[in-house]
Amino acid sequence: MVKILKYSYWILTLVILTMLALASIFSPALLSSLGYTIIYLLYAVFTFVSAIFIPSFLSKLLHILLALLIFVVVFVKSNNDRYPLALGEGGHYMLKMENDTLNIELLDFTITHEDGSASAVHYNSTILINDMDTVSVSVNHPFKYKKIRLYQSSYGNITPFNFYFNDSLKLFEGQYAEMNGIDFHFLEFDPLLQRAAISYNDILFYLPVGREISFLDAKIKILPDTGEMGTVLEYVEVKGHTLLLVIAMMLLLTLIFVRIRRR
Amino acid sequence: MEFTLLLILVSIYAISLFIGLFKQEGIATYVLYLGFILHLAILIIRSITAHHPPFTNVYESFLLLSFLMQVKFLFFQGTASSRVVNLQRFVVLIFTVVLVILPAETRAINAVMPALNSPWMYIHVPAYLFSYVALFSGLILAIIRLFSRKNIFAYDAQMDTDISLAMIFMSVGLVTGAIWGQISWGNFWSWDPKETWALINIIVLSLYFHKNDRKAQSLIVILAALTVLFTYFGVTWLLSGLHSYS
Repeated sequence: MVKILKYSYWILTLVILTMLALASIFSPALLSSLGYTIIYLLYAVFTFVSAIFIPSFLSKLLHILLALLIFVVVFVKSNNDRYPLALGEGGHYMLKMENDTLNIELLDFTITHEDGSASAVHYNSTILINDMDTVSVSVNHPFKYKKIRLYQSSYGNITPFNFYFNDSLKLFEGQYAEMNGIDFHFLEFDPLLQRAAISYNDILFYLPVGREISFLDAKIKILPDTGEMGTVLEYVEVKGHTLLLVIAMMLLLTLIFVRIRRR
Repeated sequence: MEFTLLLILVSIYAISLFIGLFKQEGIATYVLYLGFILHLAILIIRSITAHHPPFTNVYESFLLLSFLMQVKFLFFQGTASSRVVNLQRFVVLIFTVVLVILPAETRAINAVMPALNSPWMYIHVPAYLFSYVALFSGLILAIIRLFSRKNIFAYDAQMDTDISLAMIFMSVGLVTGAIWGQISWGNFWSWDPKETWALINIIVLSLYFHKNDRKAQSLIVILAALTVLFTYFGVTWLLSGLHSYS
């Protein structure tokens, strides 16, 4: 039985190494696919079991650490929701959570360059939260609110779009907005087809640029505005950290149990 | 100026190896100490000029890695045969030659990226450098072990220690990198090419502890060193990603 386990571990290790090497070079998207995820989990289980047969306590611990790391990678990658938020100064977002909303407004975005260099050494977004608190978000210093995290991802020239109803409303990709009492979500702009993807009550529709269309009892039109330097934040909704801690504790307890039984 | 100093350094290391090959161990060691002092001076000059520690890009980290290897071989090595010592000198020489032949733009001093402005850099990067020092130290013993006809080998215990240290520091590097990634990008893991190959490195190295056969272990160490070199250079220049600067 032990021999079969050992052979299986070696075969699985060779398979995972080949898969990782090939995918990283030829098709990185495969690395987070379901098929690969199953192999990672299988490898993590085998690494954990194989640790029992290693005599050195230190090596045993390192193997368990490796197994745990793979669990964390797979679990966090598959559970966290994330998407980018591009905002120019004065731009708003309404982030919808379970039983809660978070309104953010970009007050100021600053980039610090090193003298005589084009590369940025620091960039910082000052945002207003729920029209009350002013917070600063920069690389390595995210904003945290309950399970929500806002990371300073990058910056660049971003294009806002003017949505015309009775008045014009300036929106960036990913933004929520209330128009004529209706909640819209401007998902993304397709530059090839020149149309905006918008969802309303989870119904997706497309709005071509420049063409006036009727929607419910309103006529709406969208036109791109001139690009402006803006910030790109990354919205992340963190899930399952408690479960991760439980897995970590269970692994450590198993290790301690194995250690005590050996003695 | 820095390039000239590098050329002098390569020459000194080459002379030391040459003298060592002619069994003039005393003189070779003195010459090596001279090279060591120059190596340290280059690192200090680089840090002062760049206003940051010398491990924010491939060139700087390789300069520091070769220095740390020299430190280990000069001050933390027990008694070793001349074959081992000469091979160690040869490896450090090759590392410094690589520094000379690296494209000139890699030696340019650039501003540190915002993501690198974190205390985690001072744990994550040195942990990997220590791990590579231990791994390459083990590699030298593994190469000798692989081509040795004797069954009892004097450096087996040393190789075990080196590879265990490499594994410990690699684990510390991987875990601190994941934590740093979570703080900086909101992701423990992004399947960035550098991360993928860091995982490959540690998986390959972990196989060492599953074999009792010394020849097989030596082959695993050699394979691990090759994957580390690919992670260092191949990934940096062939596969772009979040770690493209390193």
